[in-house]
Amino acid sequence: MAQFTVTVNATAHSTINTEDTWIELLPPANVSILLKRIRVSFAHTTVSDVPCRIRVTRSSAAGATGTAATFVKRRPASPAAVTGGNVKNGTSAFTVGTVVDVLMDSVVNTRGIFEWVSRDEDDYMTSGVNQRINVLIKVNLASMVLNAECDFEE
Amino acid sequence: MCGQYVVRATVPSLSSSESTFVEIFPPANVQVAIKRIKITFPSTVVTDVPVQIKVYRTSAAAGGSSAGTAISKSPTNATSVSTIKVFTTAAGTIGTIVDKVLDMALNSKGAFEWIARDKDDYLWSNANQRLTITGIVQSGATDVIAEVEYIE
Repeated sequence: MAQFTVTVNATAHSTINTEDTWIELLPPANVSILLKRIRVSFAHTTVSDVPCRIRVTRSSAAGATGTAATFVKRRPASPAAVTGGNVKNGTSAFTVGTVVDVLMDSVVNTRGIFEWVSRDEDDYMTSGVNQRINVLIKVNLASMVLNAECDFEE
Repeated sequence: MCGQYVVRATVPSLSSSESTFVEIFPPANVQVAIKRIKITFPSTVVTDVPVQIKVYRTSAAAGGSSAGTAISKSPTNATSVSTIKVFTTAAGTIGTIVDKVLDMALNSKGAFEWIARDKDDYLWSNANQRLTITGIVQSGATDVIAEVEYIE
Protein backbone atom coordinates (compact mmCIF):
# COMPACT_ATOMS: atom_id res chain seq x y z
CA MET A 1 0.00 0.00 0.00
CA ALA A 2 1.23 3.49 -0.76
CA GLN A 3 1.60 6.12 1.94
CA PHE A 4 0.76 9.81 1.58
CA THR A 5 1.12 12.98 3.63
CA VAL A 6 -1.27 15.91 3.83
CA THR A 7 -0.05 19.09 5.53
CA VAL A 8 -1.89 22.33 6.15
CA ASN A 9 -0.73 25.58 7.68
CA ALA A 10 -3.74 27.80 8.33
CA THR A 11 -5.43 30.09 10.83
CA ALA A 12 -7.85 28.96 13.51
CA HIS A 13 -11.40 30.31 13.61
CA SER A 14 -11.74 34.02 14.24
CA THR A 15 -14.16 33.24 17.08
CA ILE A 16 -12.43 31.76 20.11
CA ASN A 17 -13.05 28.05 20.83
CA THR A 18 -14.93 27.41 17.57
CA GLU A 19 -14.20 24.05 15.95
CA ASP A 20 -13.15 23.96 12.31
CA THR A 21 -12.31 21.11 9.99
CA TRP A 22 -8.61 21.18 9.14
CA ILE A 23 -8.26 18.02 7.08
CA GLU A 24 -11.14 16.16 5.41
CA LEU A 25 -10.29 12.97 3.45
CA LEU A 26 -12.78 11.13 1.22
CA PRO A 27 -11.70 7.89 -0.42
CA PRO A 28 -13.62 6.19 -3.24
CA ALA A 29 -16.36 3.81 -2.10
CA ASN A 30 -14.19 0.72 -2.63
CA VAL A 31 -11.09 2.08 -0.86
CA SER A 32 -10.23 2.40 2.83
CA ILE A 33 -7.93 5.04 4.25
CA LEU A 34 -5.67 3.90 7.10
CA LEU A 35 -4.57 6.85 9.23
CA LYS A 36 -1.13 6.14 10.72
CA ARG A 37 0.00 9.48 12.14
CA ILE A 38 -1.52 12.82 13.08
CA ARG A 39 0.43 15.82 14.24
CA VAL A 40 -0.75 19.28 15.30
CA SER A 41 1.79 21.99 16.08
CA PHE A 42 1.73 25.73 16.65
CA ALA A 43 3.51 28.07 14.27
CA HIS A 44 1.91 31.24 15.61
CA THR A 45 4.34 34.18 15.75
CA THR A 46 3.41 34.94 19.36
CA VAL A 47 3.99 32.15 21.85
CA SER A 48 0.74 31.26 23.57
CA ASP A 49 -0.24 29.20 26.56
CA VAL A 50 -3.80 28.01 25.78
CA PRO A 51 -5.53 24.65 25.29
CA CYS A 52 -6.15 23.26 21.83
CA ARG A 53 -8.64 20.43 21.31
CA ILE A 54 -8.09 17.94 18.50
CA ARG A 55 -10.67 15.40 17.34
CA VAL A 56 -10.52 12.76 14.64
CA THR A 57 -13.95 11.78 13.33
CA ARG A 58 -15.74 9.85 10.62
CA SER A 59 -18.45 11.92 8.97
CA SER A 60 -21.24 11.22 6.49
CA ALA A 61 -21.38 14.68 4.96
CA ALA A 62 -18.79 17.24 4.06
CA GLY A 63 -17.96 20.42 5.91
CA ALA A 64 -17.83 23.78 4.11
CA THR A 65 -15.61 25.12 2.67
CA GLY A 66 -12.06 23.95 2.33
CA THR A 67 -9.60 23.94 -0.52
CA ALA A 68 -8.34 20.91 -2.41
CA ALA A 69 -5.73 18.95 -0.46
CA THR A 70 -2.33 18.06 -1.90
CA PHE A 71 -1.19 14.47 -1.30
CA VAL A 72 2.59 14.04 -1.17
CA LYS A 73 3.85 10.53 -1.82
CA ARG A 74 6.21 9.04 0.70
CA ARG A 75 7.81 7.01 -2.09
CA PRO A 76 8.05 9.11 -5.25
CA ALA A 77 7.56 6.01 -7.42
CA SER A 78 4.16 5.23 -5.86
CA PRO A 79 1.00 5.78 -7.89
CA ALA A 80 -0.97 8.91 -7.20
CA ALA A 81 -3.53 8.86 -4.38
CA VAL A 82 -7.09 7.96 -5.35
CA THR A 83 -8.38 9.62 -2.20
CA GLY A 84 -9.75 13.13 -2.48
CA GLY A 85 -10.21 15.75 0.15
CA ASN A 86 -10.04 19.30 1.34
CA VAL A 87 -8.00 21.22 3.88
CA LYS A 88 -8.57 24.47 5.73
CA ASN A 89 -7.83 27.46 3.53
CA GLY A 90 -6.01 30.28 5.30
CA THR A 91 -8.38 32.27 7.48
CA SER A 92 -11.57 30.92 5.88
CA ALA A 93 -13.87 28.92 8.13
CA PHE A 94 -14.34 25.22 7.30
CA THR A 95 -17.38 23.92 9.15
CA VAL A 96 -17.68 20.45 10.65
CA GLY A 97 -19.61 17.88 8.59
CA THR A 98 -22.11 15.37 9.96
CA VAL A 99 -20.19 13.39 12.58
CA VAL A 100 -20.79 9.64 12.72
CA ASP A 101 -17.96 8.45 15.00
CA VAL A 102 -15.40 10.22 17.18
CA LEU A 103 -12.19 8.19 16.94
CA MET A 104 -9.98 10.43 19.02
CA ASP A 105 -10.49 13.44 21.30
CA SER A 106 -7.41 15.04 22.90
CA VAL A 107 -6.22 18.39 24.22
CA VAL A 108 -2.73 19.88 24.18
CA ASN A 109 -1.24 23.16 25.43
CA THR A 110 -0.09 25.34 22.55
CA ARG A 111 3.42 25.50 23.93
CA GLY A 112 3.66 21.80 23.08
CA ILE A 113 3.06 19.55 20.10
CA PHE A 114 0.46 16.83 19.66
CA GLU A 115 1.34 13.66 17.81
CA TRP A 116 -0.57 10.39 17.56
CA VAL A 117 1.17 7.46 15.90
CA SER A 118 -0.51 4.09 15.33
CA ARG A 119 1.18 1.41 17.33
CA ASP A 120 0.41 -1.44 14.93
CA GLU A 121 -1.89 -2.35 12.07
CA ASP A 122 -4.86 -2.89 14.40
CA ASP A 123 -4.36 0.61 15.72
CA TYR A 124 -4.96 2.40 12.39
CA MET A 125 -7.92 4.77 12.23
CA THR A 126 -9.88 3.48 9.25
CA SER A 127 -12.45 5.23 7.10
CA GLY A 128 -15.96 3.81 6.60
CA VAL A 129 -17.72 3.25 3.27
CA ASN A 130 -18.81 6.56 1.75
CA GLN A 131 -17.50 8.36 4.83
CA ARG A 132 -14.88 11.01 5.36
CA ILE A 133 -12.13 10.95 7.95
CA ASN A 134 -11.53 14.37 9.48
CA VAL A 135 -9.10 16.22 11.73
CA LEU A 136 -11.06 18.87 13.66
CA ILE A 137 -9.40 21.56 15.76
CA LYS A 138 -10.51 24.30 18.08
CA VAL A 139 -8.21 26.51 20.17
CA ASN A 140 -8.69 28.95 22.99
CA LEU A 141 -7.14 31.79 21.00
CA ALA A 142 -8.85 33.39 18.02
CA SER A 143 -7.01 33.28 14.69
CA MET A 144 -4.03 31.29 15.93
CA VAL A 145 -1.76 29.90 13.20
CA LEU A 146 -1.48 26.11 13.36
CA ASN A 147 0.09 23.27 11.39
CA ALA A 148 -1.88 20.05 10.98
CA GLU A 149 -0.51 16.98 9.24
CA CYS A 150 -1.65 13.44 8.71
CA ASP A 151 -0.04 10.40 7.12
CA PHE A 152 -2.19 7.65 5.64
CA GLU A 153 -2.08 4.56 3.50
CA GLU A 154 -4.67 3.57 0.92
CA MET B 1 21.30 -0.77 1.69
CA CYS B 2 24.79 0.22 2.89
CA GLY B 3 23.84 1.28 6.38
CA GLN B 4 22.44 3.97 8.58
CA TYR B 5 24.09 7.34 9.11
CA VAL B 6 23.76 10.42 11.35
CA VAL B 7 24.25 14.00 10.20
CA ARG B 8 24.30 16.88 12.68
CA ALA B 9 24.08 20.64 12.16
CA THR B 10 24.43 23.23 14.91
CA VAL B 11 22.92 26.49 13.72
CA PRO B 12 23.53 29.66 15.77
CA SER B 13 20.91 32.41 15.92
CA LEU B 14 18.31 30.98 13.56
CA SER B 15 15.89 33.82 12.91
CA SER B 16 13.06 34.84 10.60
CA SER B 17 14.61 33.78 7.26
CA GLU B 18 13.96 30.13 6.39
CA SER B 19 17.34 28.43 6.38
CA THR B 20 18.60 25.01 5.34
CA PHE B 21 20.14 22.96 8.16
CA VAL B 22 21.02 19.72 6.40
CA GLU B 23 21.01 18.66 2.75
CA ILE B 24 21.45 15.00 1.71
CA PHE B 25 22.16 14.37 -2.00
CA PRO B 26 22.58 10.76 -3.10
CA PRO B 27 24.07 9.68 -6.44
CA ALA B 28 21.57 9.27 -9.29
CA ASN B 29 21.36 5.49 -8.87
CA VAL B 30 20.93 5.55 -5.11
CA GLN B 31 17.90 6.31 -2.93
CA VAL B 32 18.17 7.54 0.63
CA ALA B 33 15.44 7.51 3.25
CA ILE B 34 15.25 9.58 6.43
CA LYS B 35 14.26 7.53 9.47
CA ARG B 36 14.63 10.02 12.32
CA ILE B 37 14.84 13.78 12.82
CA LYS B 38 15.58 15.45 16.12
CA ILE B 39 15.44 19.18 16.83
CA THR B 40 16.72 20.63 20.10
CA PHE B 41 17.84 24.02 21.36
CA PRO B 42 21.27 24.39 22.99
CA SER B 43 21.15 28.10 23.87
CA THR B 44 22.62 28.61 27.35
CA VAL B 45 20.02 31.35 27.85
CA VAL B 46 16.54 29.82 27.58
CA THR B 47 14.51 31.14 24.66
CA ASP B 48 10.74 30.99 24.25
CA VAL B 49 10.09 31.30 20.52
CA PRO B 50 8.10 29.34 17.90
CA VAL B 51 10.27 27.44 15.42
CA GLN B 52 8.92 25.87 12.22
CA ILE B 53 10.69 22.83 10.75
CA LYS B 54 10.16 21.52 7.21
CA VAL B 55 11.53 18.67 5.11
CA TYR B 56 11.55 19.07 1.33
CA ARG B 57 12.63 17.20 -1.73
CA THR B 58 14.59 19.75 -3.73
CA SER B 59 15.91 19.68 -7.29
CA ALA B 60 18.71 22.21 -6.85
CA ALA B 61 21.22 22.78 -4.10
CA ALA B 62 20.79 25.17 -1.20
CA GLY B 63 22.97 28.27 -1.30
CA GLY B 64 25.91 28.54 1.07
CA SER B 65 27.52 25.41 2.34
CA SER B 66 29.78 23.64 4.70
CA ALA B 67 30.60 20.07 3.80
CA GLY B 68 29.04 17.78 6.34
CA THR B 69 30.00 14.43 7.77
CA ALA B 70 27.76 11.38 7.76
CA ILE B 71 28.65 9.31 10.81
CA SER B 72 27.96 5.62 10.43
CA LYS B 73 25.80 4.12 13.18
CA SER B 74 27.89 0.97 12.89
CA PRO B 75 31.64 1.49 12.58
CA THR B 76 31.92 -1.42 10.15
CA ASN B 77 29.52 0.09 7.60
CA ALA B 78 30.85 1.47 4.33
CA THR B 79 31.20 5.24 4.08
CA SER B 80 28.07 7.01 2.89
CA VAL B 81 28.04 7.70 -0.87
CA SER B 82 25.74 10.73 -0.49
CA THR B 83 26.97 14.32 -0.59
CA ILE B 84 26.18 15.97 2.72
CA LYS B 85 25.92 19.66 3.45
CA VAL B 86 25.37 21.20 6.85
CA PHE B 87 24.92 24.88 7.52
CA THR B 88 26.44 26.22 10.67
CA THR B 89 27.99 29.66 10.75
CA ALA B 90 26.08 30.76 7.65
CA ALA B 91 22.61 29.28 7.48
CA GLY B 92 21.90 28.07 3.94
CA THR B 93 19.21 29.37 1.61
CA ILE B 94 16.60 26.97 0.22
CA GLY B 95 17.13 25.05 -3.03
CA THR B 96 14.39 24.53 -5.62
CA ILE B 97 11.47 22.87 -3.86
CA VAL B 98 9.72 19.89 -5.47
CA ASP B 99 7.72 18.42 -2.56
CA LYS B 100 7.17 19.25 1.08
CA VAL B 101 7.08 16.00 3.06
CA LEU B 102 7.01 17.34 6.61
CA ASP B 103 5.90 20.67 8.14
CA MET B 104 5.62 21.26 11.86
CA ALA B 105 6.32 23.81 14.59
CA LEU B 106 7.56 23.67 18.15
CA ASN B 107 8.49 25.96 21.02
CA SER B 108 12.18 26.41 21.75
CA LYS B 109 11.57 25.41 25.37
CA GLY B 110 10.87 21.91 24.07
CA ALA B 111 12.36 19.30 21.78
CA PHE B 112 11.01 17.44 18.78
CA GLU B 113 11.73 14.00 17.45
CA TRP B 114 10.12 12.44 14.37
CA ILE B 115 10.68 8.70 13.95
CA ALA B 116 9.50 6.65 10.98
CA ARG B 117 6.89 4.19 12.19
CA ASP B 118 7.78 1.57 9.57
CA LYS B 119 9.43 1.28 6.16
CA ASP B 120 6.41 2.80 4.42
CA ASP B 121 6.83 5.85 6.65
CA TYR B 122 10.41 6.66 5.62
CA LEU B 123 10.99 10.00 3.89
CA TRP B 124 12.40 8.83 0.55
CA SER B 125 14.47 10.80 -1.91
CA ASN B 126 13.70 10.82 -5.61
CA ALA B 127 16.15 10.48 -8.52
CA ASN B 128 18.50 13.47 -8.76
CA GLN B 129 16.82 15.13 -5.80
CA ARG B 130 18.00 16.15 -2.36
CA LEU B 131 16.34 15.70 1.00
CA THR B 132 16.54 19.06 2.75
CA ILE B 133 15.72 19.98 6.34
CA THR B 134 14.98 23.65 7.00
CA GLY B 135 13.94 25.84 9.88
CA ILE B 136 12.63 29.32 10.59
CA VAL B 137 11.89 31.20 13.80
CA GLN B 138 8.52 32.93 13.64
CA SER B 139 9.67 35.71 15.95
CA GLY B 140 12.95 36.16 17.77
CA ALA B 141 16.02 33.97 17.37
CA THR B 142 17.48 30.84 18.87
CA ASP B 143 20.29 28.33 18.41
CA VAL B 144 19.32 24.94 16.98
CA ILE B 145 20.84 21.46 16.84
CA ALA B 146 19.35 19.38 14.03
CA GLU B 147 20.16 15.66 13.84
CA VAL B 148 19.04 13.55 10.90
CA GLU B 149 19.42 9.79 10.51
CA TYR B 150 19.10 8.18 7.11
CA ILE B 151 19.71 4.92 5.31
CA GLU B 152 21.06 4.42 1.80
